[in-house]
Amino acid sequence: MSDRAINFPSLVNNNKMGSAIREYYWAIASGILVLLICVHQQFPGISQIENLTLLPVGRWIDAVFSVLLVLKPVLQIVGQIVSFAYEQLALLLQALPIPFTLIALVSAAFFLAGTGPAVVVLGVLMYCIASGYWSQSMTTLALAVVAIVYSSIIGFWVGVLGHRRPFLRSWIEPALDVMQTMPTFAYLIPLLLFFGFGPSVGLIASVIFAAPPMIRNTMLGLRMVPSAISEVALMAGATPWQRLWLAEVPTARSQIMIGLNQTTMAAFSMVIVAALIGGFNDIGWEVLSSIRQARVGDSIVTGMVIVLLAVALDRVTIAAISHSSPTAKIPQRERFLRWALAILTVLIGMWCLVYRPEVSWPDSWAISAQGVDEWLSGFITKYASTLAEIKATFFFYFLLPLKIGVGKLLAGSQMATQQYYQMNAAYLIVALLGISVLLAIAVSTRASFWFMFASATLYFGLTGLPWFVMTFAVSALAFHLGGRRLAAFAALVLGFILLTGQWESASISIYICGAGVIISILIGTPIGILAAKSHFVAPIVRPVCDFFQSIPLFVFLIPVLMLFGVGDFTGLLAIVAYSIIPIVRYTEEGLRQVPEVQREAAIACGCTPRQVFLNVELPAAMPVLLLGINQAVLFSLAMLAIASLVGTAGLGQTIYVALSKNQPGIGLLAGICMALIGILADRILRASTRLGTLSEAN
Amino acid sequence: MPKLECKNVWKVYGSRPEAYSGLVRQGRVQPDDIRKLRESGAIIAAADVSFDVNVGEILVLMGLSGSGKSTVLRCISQLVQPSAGTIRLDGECLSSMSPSDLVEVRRHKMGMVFQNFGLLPHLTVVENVEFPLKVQRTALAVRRERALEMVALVGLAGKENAYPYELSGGQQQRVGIARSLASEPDLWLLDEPFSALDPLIRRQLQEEFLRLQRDLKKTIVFVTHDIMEALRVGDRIAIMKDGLIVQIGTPQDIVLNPVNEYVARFTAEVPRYRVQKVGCIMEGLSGDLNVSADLSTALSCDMAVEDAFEHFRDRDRVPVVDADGRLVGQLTASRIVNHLAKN
Ligand SMILES: Nc1ncnc2c1ncn2[C@@H]1O[C@H](COP(=O)(O)OP(=O)(O)OP(=O)(O)O)[C@@H](O)[C@H]1O
Ligand SMILES: [Mg+2]
Repeated sequence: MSDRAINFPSLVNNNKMGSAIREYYWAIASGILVLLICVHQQFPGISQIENLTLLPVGRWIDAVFSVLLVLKPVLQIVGQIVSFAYEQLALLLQALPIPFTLIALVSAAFFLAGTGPAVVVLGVLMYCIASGYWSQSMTTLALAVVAIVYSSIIGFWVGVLGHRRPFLRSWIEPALDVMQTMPTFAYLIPLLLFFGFGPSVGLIASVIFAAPPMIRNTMLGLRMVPSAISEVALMAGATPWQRLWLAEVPTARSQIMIGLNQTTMAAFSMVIVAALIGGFNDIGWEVLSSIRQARVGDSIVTGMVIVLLAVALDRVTIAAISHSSPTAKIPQRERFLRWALAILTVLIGMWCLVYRPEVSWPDSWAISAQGVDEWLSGFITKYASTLAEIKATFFFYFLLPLKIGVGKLLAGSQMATQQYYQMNAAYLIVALLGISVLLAIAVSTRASFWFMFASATLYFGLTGLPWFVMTFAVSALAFHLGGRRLAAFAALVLGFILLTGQWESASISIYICGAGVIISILIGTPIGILAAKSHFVAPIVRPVCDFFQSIPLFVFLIPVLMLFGVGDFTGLLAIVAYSIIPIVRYTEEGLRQVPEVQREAAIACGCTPRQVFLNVELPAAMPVLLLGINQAVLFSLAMLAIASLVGTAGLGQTIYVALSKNQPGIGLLAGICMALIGILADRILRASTRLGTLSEAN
Repeated sequence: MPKLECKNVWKVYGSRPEAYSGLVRQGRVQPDDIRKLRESGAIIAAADVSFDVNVGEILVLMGLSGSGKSTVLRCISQLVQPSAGTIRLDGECLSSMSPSDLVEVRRHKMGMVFQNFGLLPHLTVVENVEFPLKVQRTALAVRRERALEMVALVGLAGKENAYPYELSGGQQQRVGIARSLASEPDLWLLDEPFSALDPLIRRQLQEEFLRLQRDLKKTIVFVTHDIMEALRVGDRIAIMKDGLIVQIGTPQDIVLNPVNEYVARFTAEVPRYRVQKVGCIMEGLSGDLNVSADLSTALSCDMAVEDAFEHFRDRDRVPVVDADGRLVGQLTASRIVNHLAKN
């Protein structure tokens, strides 16, 4: 190996293979890879999925559901109980006079989180009023609050249970992985079957989706309580219940509050998405219908309401972690302000009660969608050709080769006759093989293997790559990183996808997400490096990341949809916009946490800044960087499901179609496949970092 | 009947829990047996530990880091279940107690100071100290008063409302000590209670501790690293090595008659006159002793040599009497100097 190459220690550690196999591992793998590709070229029939006997898993699931429908009456009662709380709260919020609600919410934010968040809440509510979507905002708020309350209560207790009963934990954790990686649409379908249309489905889906972060953080927080603390409680003669309440939960408080924040954001995000199936007079529904009717201005104005509400919820719950901690010291001035605000709230409440004022918002203050509309359509018509060109270039030179492969592209182009193409292909293959051999000799057999795999991918395209080549390569990687068990898991996952007939849509999904993650890495890493290195960039990048992460996925679609219309490219942009966040964050974080001593030691050895970066900082930050990529993959899968709304094909599309056709089996199946892909990617990347988990990564 | 009885207590972590059970039955365990067990993969934290502690007595557990001191203490408090052996408090076997009885015992009979303090981060100093009373549902006024008393006792008056993160390590440790006393336990377990203190405060607290003990007559198991501390506070000292008790005896025993090299190395630094008794180095009765000398200034036989120094300020020979006040010999200044030089 040349001495310039950076050897990432994390990638080569821990495997229990015999040294002989280890030495020739990649050489053997390369051999098998070549063999498989030859098989594909010689007998193309083998790689045809239509020739396989598929398992009708979708229909089996349908059958199970038709039996389970017996439970429908019981579940509907549950649904009614859940939506009862929501209906009451929504009625209340709609009935209360606006000035009272405004001051009450601002005071609550002030009590919980302090001055800054209270100001944010005030601004956000003002915007809701000004935009004319107050009533819709209140409906959404009621939905969100009920979902948050239910999911945090359920999440907390499940977390406590999981902490107390280790055998339960080993069931809870994989279940959480599935709940969080499974696209939300997928379980909307069975829920629809059981609960029928209406707000209860959205609520229940939100609770299911939002409880996992609370469960995880509760378990994590309780697990991190120093054993000394529990022992002190034991020695003081505390009963198990007292130990939990008086010692462990307070000690784990800040971690649990982090869970509360994540649960809040997840619940809010899901409440918006749920508008798709049971929407009416709430803000998610407004956005959706304005998108469907192509009312650009409206969709921007309503999208902003969602964004702002999300920001407010995020600020309040984050600030509450430290602000209402029992060890926080509240300054005199704030105590005074608290009283003043409380009295003001009561006064305004009474005033509203007595006079029942008809507060009307001056028209001149209102935010009009009209103006936004005109300005935007002007912009779009002006740059239409440029935008189309960007889209076409990108599509032809990046997406298409990745999707259907250079081989097909060449064959399809007019100047290439069939024979010419075949000849060229032969040369290409010989050249590629030559390079592989050279790589194997000069660098390593591992590099050669991956070069071969990459060229095969480019040649056949991700959707055209024969299933056995793909399965073999992924399993080989899994074996190298995580041993036999991980390899078996990889093979099982891919086998499941293949045999249930989801291979084609899965490969399209992998192609879009893969492209998205690659672009995110290419753009995000430099931004992260800049943020870590520069005192000017960091204060800009961080709040921007926070902001983007708190926005419900759905909103990302609005601007890209307006600029580029429906299609793969739009979906890709949405995916990039979302999955770039963890890349930037973790890159910065990883580089910042490199101990100063290491850096100084390298400088003292006479390293140039570039050498310090390449030889010290990058290797030290590598595990965290990989964790960021791991998160990016999960983020991209989450976005993919939503992006099916704008016409992206793949598993997301399958689910969306199943949703509209009310086919729980096929929808769930596609959902499970996506969850499995996400979990597999997570395990593989995690094995390569040996750091953190899906849970602790947040 | 001793207050606390530990009999053949074992604690084995890790795999192969059955391997040691043969040794349990065998009676006396040799270090070699333990070594063999360890090589087979078991983690033996405490092996065949037996001792009694009487009311009002202080037993000190001493040993190098990792020798199993904390483990023994935690077995006594039942924070970990001993793998074998019995522990009796007031004749009642702790390991066979029901959880609810154990809660009662801990509430009223045991207090423990933790090696790493174990303060609850969300509670202030007083709230931490009153915690054991709070879980017993004592009324706020009562427990607050008691807690303030304890806080003052350990010299933290004025810091009552500070949070643990605002205290230094030594101050935190004193909060832990105060807390362990809040519920007036009979059995007091202290795991290196003074280790984080500076020498002055440590000395002061040791004296305070001994003074308290003279009044309260608690039964104490005291873990420490520091041989001087052990000698100062201990009525008896048990020296541990690799989970075994290698020697148990009075401070004098340990310093003057170490059973092996390991114990001897521990006490090598200790000036002998700290523990040696006057009776051991005096001269017997002989002719030139002025028997008529007045016995009111005489030294007692079992006085530490260290404490005899001041009697030689204005003379160079002093008579020595036994416990009944009978003259048994004399001590001269030159004899003491000779003796000090020898060590
Ligand atoms: N929970 C545990 N699991 C496995 N091994 C343990 C556990 N607790 C203690 N040990 C082992 O038991 C041995 C004795 O530990 P112990 O804490 O009793 O030592 P100690 O004498 O108190 O040391 P120190 O003076 O450092 O506090 C050590 O070798 C330790 O590694
Ligand atoms: Mg210890």
